[in-house]
Parts: sequence; C-alpha cells; structure tokens
Amino acid sequence: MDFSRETQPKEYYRKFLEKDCRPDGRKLCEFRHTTLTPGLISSAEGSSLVKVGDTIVICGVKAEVGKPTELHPDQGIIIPNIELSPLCSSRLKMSSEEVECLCTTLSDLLKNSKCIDFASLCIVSQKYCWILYCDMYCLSLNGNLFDALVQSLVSALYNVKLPLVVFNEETEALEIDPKSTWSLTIPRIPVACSFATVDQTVLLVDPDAEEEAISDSILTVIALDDGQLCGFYKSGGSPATPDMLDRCMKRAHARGNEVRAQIRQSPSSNKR
Amino acid sequence: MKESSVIVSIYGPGEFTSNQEQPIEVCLYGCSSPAAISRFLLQIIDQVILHNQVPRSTIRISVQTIQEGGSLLSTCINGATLALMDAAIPLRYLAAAVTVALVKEEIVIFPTKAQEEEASAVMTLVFNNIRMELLACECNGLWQPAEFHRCLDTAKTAVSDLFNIYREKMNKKLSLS
Repeated sequence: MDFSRETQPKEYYRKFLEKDCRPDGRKLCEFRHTTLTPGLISSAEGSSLVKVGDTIVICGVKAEVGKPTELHPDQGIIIPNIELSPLCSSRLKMSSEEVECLCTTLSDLLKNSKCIDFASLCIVSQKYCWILYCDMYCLSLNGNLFDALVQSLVSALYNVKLPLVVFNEETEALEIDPKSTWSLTIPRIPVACSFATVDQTVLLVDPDAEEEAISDSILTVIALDDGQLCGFYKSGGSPATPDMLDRCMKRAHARGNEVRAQIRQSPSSNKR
Repeated sequence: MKESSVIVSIYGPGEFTSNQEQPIEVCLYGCSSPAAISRFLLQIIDQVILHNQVPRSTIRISVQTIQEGGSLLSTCINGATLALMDAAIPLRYLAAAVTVALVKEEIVIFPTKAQEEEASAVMTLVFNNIRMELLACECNGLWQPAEFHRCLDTAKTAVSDLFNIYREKMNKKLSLS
C-alpha cells in the first residue's frame, strides 16, 4: 500500500502536478462541483445552502426591526456571523479571533462592493431600520471556506423576502403587511475565487484541505459583474509574479460569471 | 509613517517550552483591530525568518501602537522588519510594506486616516528586496484591474525608497558600534 500521501504529502502531490492534474482528477484550473440550494430554511427570511465539493456552508438570514446606528441613521444593518464547530472538520485550527476577522471581512465586503443598497433597508430615518442577521454554519470543511462563505451569504441575501413595513404617522406605530413582500435589490454580485500556490510557481484553483496544507500561500480574488475587483488577499508566503496575478484575476472573472448565473437562475429567485 | 507610529520589540531567539504552540508569536498592543493585523504579520514573518538557522527557538514580536492613523498595517510590517534586522535574526529576505489608496483616481502613498475613508480602494502591498516580488497583499474597496497594476508599479517605486532607508539605518547603526 502506498502511504506516501500521509507521510510525504508534497512529494505525492508533485507526482500529479508533473502531469498537470490533481489526485481528485481535477485540472489545475478546475473548480469542484458547486451546487446552490436557496430557500431551504422556511422559517428564515432568506437562506441558502452552498456545496463546493465537500465544503458545505448554510446561511440563514433573519430579519428584525431595530434602531439604526448613530453613524448611519439612514441605513439598515447587516450582521454576518460565522459558526465553525468541530463538526465540520477534525483538523480545524481557527481561533475565535480569526473567525471574527472573517466576519469583519465579509461585512466590509458587502459595504465596499456596494452590492446592497443599505438605504433601502431603512424604514424611518434615525428610528427604525431592518437589521439582517446572517448566520453562516459550516457543515463540512474540505478547504476553501472563504469562497463558500461569500457565495452562501450573497445568495441568501439575494433570496431574502421581507414584509412591507409602513410607518403610520398618526398612530406612530409600524404596520406590517405580511402578504406583500419585497426582495433586496442586488445589482452586482461579488464572487470570491481562491487559489493556492505550490512550489512558488504552480497555481491551484479551489484548493481542498490537503492542498491548503501543502501550499506556500493562498490568494483570494473577489470579482464583480462589470470586471471590477472588490477584494484581493494574498497571505504572506511565496512571492507572486505579475503574470500569476493576471491569471488569477482572469480566472476569477470567469468563475464569477458562472456563480452569478447560478445565483440568478436558482429556483426561488424566479419569482423576482 | 505620517500619522501612524509603532514601537516593535523582539525577544528571541529564546527557549521553546512545551506549552507553546507556535515558534513565532506576534502580540499587538494598543490598536483597534489586533487580530487581523497580527495574523497578517505572523504569516509574513513566518516566511521571512530562516527557521533552520534558529531551530527549536521562540521569537516573540511585540508591537506597541503609539499613534493609530492611516497605513497602520504597513507601519507594523516595516517596524517588524527593522526590529528583526536590529535583533540580527537570520532572514531569507527583507520585507517592506506600502499602503496605497485610490482617492478620486489619484494614487496616494501612505494615506492618512481621512484619505483612507475617502478612498475608493485601499491596498497594503508587501514586497521583498529580491526582484521586488509581491509577498502579500490586502486590498479592499472597488477598483479596475488596470488600476491595480498602476498601484503595484507606484508601490514598487515607494518600496525601493524604503529599502534604501533600511540600508541607511543599518549603516548608521553599525558604524557607531
């Protein structure tokens, strides 16, 4: 029996990389099979289950009416929260601070990409606004958590249906009309695409857990519809050539188009 | 760097006790988002230090923020590299970081806090001194790929100035002793 996969993972991988393929049969630039199931949680205002190979993330959006922040009195609030329990992976080593960093990154991403009109979530300036709590649970982790998180968050928000709320100025109360619902306008959808660099020159798209362990560094590109980028993260590691950066951006755009088509054509979004 | 200033101190190479998980430890004091900065810093320093020259040793890097303004992340990285050189810890190469902001289509190097908030994109780019290769980066905001290349080129010029500053500082320090 060949134990080199466990004892010498990098050597094992190099044998495959010489032939331009990977142990799971994928090409270097191929993503794992991605499925998107929106509206799975009927009690949530919006939800989505994303499977990127074996990495499974479910996102549920619960809406609440609350007071807007002092800094942005005319805007609603979206709070992403990530739960990574030992359930998802036996080799999970993320501290709670790192998970908090991820939450902040996702929250900044929603603001920077301008994909959500926060002003539309405001009901009455300075008094009432929608607060959307987006809880993401990782059910299974086999590498590339970030891409799955971004995809589940954005597709869950795409499928959110909020009841129409009107502020009655005479009674100074909010009136909810549960029969009429509205969806968030998301004109541009950010899509994350991660790469792992191995041996300083080889670029692997959508690394799984094994590949992340042998990689020198991880690159993540977040692309929008119109060709703009709204995030580019490279962890400290092997140096990247400009050619490599170009290849990453190009692949990220192609991947972005595929994922956006998936989100826009998903079943419950046909009612929009 | 303009608005931000940090003091970086290095303790090491020291004894590696069994209850420590990582040989390199980064501690940040006095800044508002320590977790994000320390993770980024740790990954860069991990690559820069020649581990086989300091086996079974711990290196503890403490970053004390004196003033938090714009470009804090790159200030921490530059401070850490200078401190590592001062401590004479064997390094693979030197790392220097530059923060570049796109403010109304103009590229600003080492933006202030006000400029960062106004900017459409803020990028922290870390280069090494061998062939000016990009080691790490963290870019947030909204920009076109062509603008990214412009920022990279501007950052490379700024970084080569930084490396000259490093060389001057080391020359000065070594000439006194």
